[in-house]
Amino acid sequence: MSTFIRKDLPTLLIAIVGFAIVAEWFFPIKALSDFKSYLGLVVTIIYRVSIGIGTVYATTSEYAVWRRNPTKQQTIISGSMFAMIIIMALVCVFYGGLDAGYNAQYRWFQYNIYQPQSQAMYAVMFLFQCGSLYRVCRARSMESTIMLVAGGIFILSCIPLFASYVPGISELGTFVTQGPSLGGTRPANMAAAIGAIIVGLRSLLGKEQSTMETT
Amino acid sequence: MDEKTQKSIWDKMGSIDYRIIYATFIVMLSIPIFYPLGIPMKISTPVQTYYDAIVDLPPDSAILVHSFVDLSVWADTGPILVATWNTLWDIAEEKNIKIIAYVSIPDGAIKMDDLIQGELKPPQWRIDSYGETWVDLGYIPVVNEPVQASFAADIASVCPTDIHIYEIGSEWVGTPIYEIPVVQEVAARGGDPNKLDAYDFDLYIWGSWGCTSPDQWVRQFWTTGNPAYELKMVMMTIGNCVPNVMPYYGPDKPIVGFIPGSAGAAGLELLCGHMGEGIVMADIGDLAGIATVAVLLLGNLSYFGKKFFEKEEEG
Amino acid sequence: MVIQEQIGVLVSTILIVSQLSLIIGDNFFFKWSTRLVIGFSVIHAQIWGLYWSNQYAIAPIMKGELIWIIPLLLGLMMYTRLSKKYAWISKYPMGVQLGVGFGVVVVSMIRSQILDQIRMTITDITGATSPYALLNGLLVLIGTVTVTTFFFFTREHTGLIGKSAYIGRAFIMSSIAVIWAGDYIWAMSMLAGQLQYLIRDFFFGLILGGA
Repeated sequence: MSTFIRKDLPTLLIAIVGFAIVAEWFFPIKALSDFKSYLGLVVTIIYRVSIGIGTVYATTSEYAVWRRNPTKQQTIISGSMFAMIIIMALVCVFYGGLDAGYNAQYRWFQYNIYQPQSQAMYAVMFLFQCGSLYRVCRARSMESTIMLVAGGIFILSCIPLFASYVPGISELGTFVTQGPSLGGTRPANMAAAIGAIIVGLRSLLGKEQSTMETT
Repeated sequence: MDEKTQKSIWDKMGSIDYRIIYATFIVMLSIPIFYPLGIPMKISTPVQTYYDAIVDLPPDSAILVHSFVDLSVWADTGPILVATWNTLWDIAEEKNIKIIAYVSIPDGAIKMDDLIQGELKPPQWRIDSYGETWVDLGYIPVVNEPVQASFAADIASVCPTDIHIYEIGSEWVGTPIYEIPVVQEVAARGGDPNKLDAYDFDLYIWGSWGCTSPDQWVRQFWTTGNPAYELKMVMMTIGNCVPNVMPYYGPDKPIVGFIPGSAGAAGLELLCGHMGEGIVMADIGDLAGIATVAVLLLGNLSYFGKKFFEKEEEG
Repeated sequence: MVIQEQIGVLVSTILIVSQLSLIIGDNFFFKWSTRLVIGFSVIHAQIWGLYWSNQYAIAPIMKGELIWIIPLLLGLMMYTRLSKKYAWISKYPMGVQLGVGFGVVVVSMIRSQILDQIRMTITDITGATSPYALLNGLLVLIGTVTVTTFFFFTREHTGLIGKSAYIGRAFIMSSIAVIWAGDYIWAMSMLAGQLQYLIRDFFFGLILGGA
């Protein structure tokens, strides 16, 4: 009984829900279509309600990092994260409640902390890519030569200076994306799709236990 | 010059301190910000087809627009969105093109408010005809595939009322969407005026920086449905998603045009005539491209120089 | 600039420079600025999660649409993952999510990502209107066949399959090269955006006062 409730019933639920939606594809009757729409929103609500788990994990892991290394520096670093959480929570409580995301005060934090910071993370990534471009992109083997040539052509075709003044570079760039690159991406997509379908069907039939294991 | 010096030159070329490379790129990217270069541009085919898909729509068409706003990649994708909306606003009144728009990321909820009141201010006739020729439904969380499936089948199931937050059309906020004239008109195209779905539109303008997004959107807005929706799409994206878009890109395929980042946005700005950040980014890209070529050449010259020199010595 | 904007520009500049300081090595300022944005992101996700939970579940329940109690309960059941003893309860909402996810994807994936791709590979050749288009189509066909053999992991890559897989590797590398190059261009735009902000808004806007 315990195994039935803990393992078999959830697996049955996956199958019932999954096959109901697949059935709607073949039998587009209103009841099934409405059920499919309802389930789409159910998934959204589950996702939105359960976001708090991320909050719990983020805060507990940061606390654990601080506990392992309670130096002054780490205290300031971890403390700043908790301070930001408290400040934003207070902003939400005092300026708009559940609609706080639309308010000017929230907007200030979004534009002056979140936006520049998250963009800067990717900006740093570019500088590291420049370093790797120099160190790694050398024609040492067949693979790296292709990477150098195809990647180099694509980069040059995207840059207006070269696209305008180097004859044929933009046509070469188009050829690389619509020829060899498409020849590599298309079968990779197909292979990924076949893999996903197999895993999906195994899950619907209750054979893919790895998808239902929790820690 | 003796052999020892020649060797060390190849070694030196191949082991330049990373900080010099970083500094070089930062300086090269900064120069056009002080002194714009104005180097001419070539418009790529995907950008041209993106623009043509919008301006060549026949009269009385309906467009579904997903305003792709993600602040963490705004520098690259912002210019595309601005140029797209400027292109939409330039559509003549006589063509009677209906626009139904939404945003699907929280960042967009407030950014669109600022944009619509600023650089994306609609023409006066659009402002006066909010609700009749266009509507912005606001922030709807259409991000995962099950919700997209519901959205494509019936938009009202995910967004029952107009919830946009800016001043234009504020009298319509809270109105059930099937009481908004433009929604009724577009929904009626598919036969049922009380069901707005993917069948009712002629073009879907959407954006994402997830590389699996083309697969997702094509599944839910082209393949799904009985009969299949087969809603033509144009896509705003970033550069590294180009290989993922290519399997679906073509005149008789789901995605008829796409713009890969700010480089493409510059082309769209040239086409629509509204210069913006895309052109500035293109300028910056020019000098970065020169630095890129220099770095690639240095690394490979060092590698081949050492290899050739060692071979010569052995020989 | 009003005082709020000035403080905002100053704060943004400090955070951008802290983030860029990673290029000289991991340091206190980088870690501090990263934690700040993580803290914001946590609340950002939470507040919008609560907003939509209210819009889609709680408000309709208050209006009498009791059918939305089910997803609300399922969402709350996800929190049992935090307990080792009751974590099995979270399999129910996960099961619903998995079932819905597979259901909406499985059938359309067969058509769009397998059948249509095979059809397009062939029609790109049969429908070619120029020698360039024909060459492209043939290249894609060769790439499709050879890369597919590369993904045969149940047979050793020797003989004909080995040669085919080797060619397939070349096509995969070209695809990876374009992805990497696109990533490079994108990241370059991000750095350009940050430098623009530092120069225009901080240096000219704040320091030089709009000169």
